[in-house]
Amino acid sequence: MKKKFKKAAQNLGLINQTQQTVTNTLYPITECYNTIKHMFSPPEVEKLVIEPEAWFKLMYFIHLIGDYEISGFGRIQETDEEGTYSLIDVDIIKQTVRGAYVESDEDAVLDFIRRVPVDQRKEWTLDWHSHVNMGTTPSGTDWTNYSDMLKARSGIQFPAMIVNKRDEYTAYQIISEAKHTEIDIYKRAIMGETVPEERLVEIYNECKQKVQTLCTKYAAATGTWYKPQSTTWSNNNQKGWTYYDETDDGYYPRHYWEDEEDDEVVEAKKQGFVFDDDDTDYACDYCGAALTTTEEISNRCCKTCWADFTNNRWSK
Amino acid sequence: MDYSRINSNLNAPEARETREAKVSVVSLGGVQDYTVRAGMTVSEFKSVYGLNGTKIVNENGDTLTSDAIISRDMQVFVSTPKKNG
Repeated sequence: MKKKFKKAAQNLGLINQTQQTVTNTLYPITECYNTIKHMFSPPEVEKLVIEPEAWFKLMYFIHLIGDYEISGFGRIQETDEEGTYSLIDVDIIKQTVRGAYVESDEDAVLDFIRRVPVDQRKEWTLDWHSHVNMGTTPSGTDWTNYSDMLKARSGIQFPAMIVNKRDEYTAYQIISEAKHTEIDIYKRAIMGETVPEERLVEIYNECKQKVQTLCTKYAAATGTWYKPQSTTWSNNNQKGWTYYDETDDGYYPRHYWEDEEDDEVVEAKKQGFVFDDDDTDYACDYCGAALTTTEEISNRCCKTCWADFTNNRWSK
Repeated sequence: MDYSRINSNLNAPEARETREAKVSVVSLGGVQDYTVRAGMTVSEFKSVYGLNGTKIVNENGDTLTSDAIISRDMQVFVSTPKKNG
């Protein structure tokens, strides 16, 4: 259980700490073989051509989910032209969608990896998601996740794409944590080739069924009463029910924070010490500044860093 | 006891090969093959190959804990959460 107040009191030295034994390791290194092996590779994907069926699928996913973000993976194949790949298929995985955030847990990603046919494993590398009606510049959350994805792929570079309902695109080839190159997007659908009506209906129904079964809309916890140990929610303010606050680690009863106040903390408060909420979940991923607005918390990025990303001040 | 026979058996190529294990890692980046020493823990494997923070499961779908030991050739699947905003 979280011991926020106790931790703060310890930092102030109000609690006597026993002397700890420090063990020095002989090898204070960070393994980096895979990281270095791939980080100076030339970009594999320089141009991405979206094939008609893939484009319709993408647009159906983005619009079927309404005003929520949606994410998934795409299948790309190399063409005869070096550096040029075709996006021939897209798919989504089990996810929780919000207006400015979409999340799939590791089990959902694992299910996707396991169901991809063996001969297609090297092709389903595109990481895509939508930004509803916002611009398609990657957010702080996106860059953090690209970094995590790179590690999970053993440092192998991959293409990442962001698209919105206005049919705008931004795509990067993520080569390392500090290096990425821009990918030029072309849509073959607008170059004259179309998909037969019957096939369009099939694609639409397929996308609709996937969105309905795989996407869960996130409901804000504020103002909602949860019955302990129950998966059902109710707004019934019955006696004996506890108001829960949602955190990334789970649900914590609100009264917990009010009751758990050590004597040392009480003493510290009397002396004028102020205990700030040091929940790192609400700190900017890049500069560590506290996030105060809903938009900042959703983006996990403060306004200043967001403006920097938007204006491309961060070097590639 | 014939120690020379025991020593030669221990150092035989067949014996050396059994002290290694081939781990085939399947991830979003495709398949990567690694040859590791048998007896390496999953925690060590993750650390050496930069897979800290990821979830590793075996062919049966069982999650490999940090103290699990790699003692034979195996295929594992690696994943991490996907969070975009």
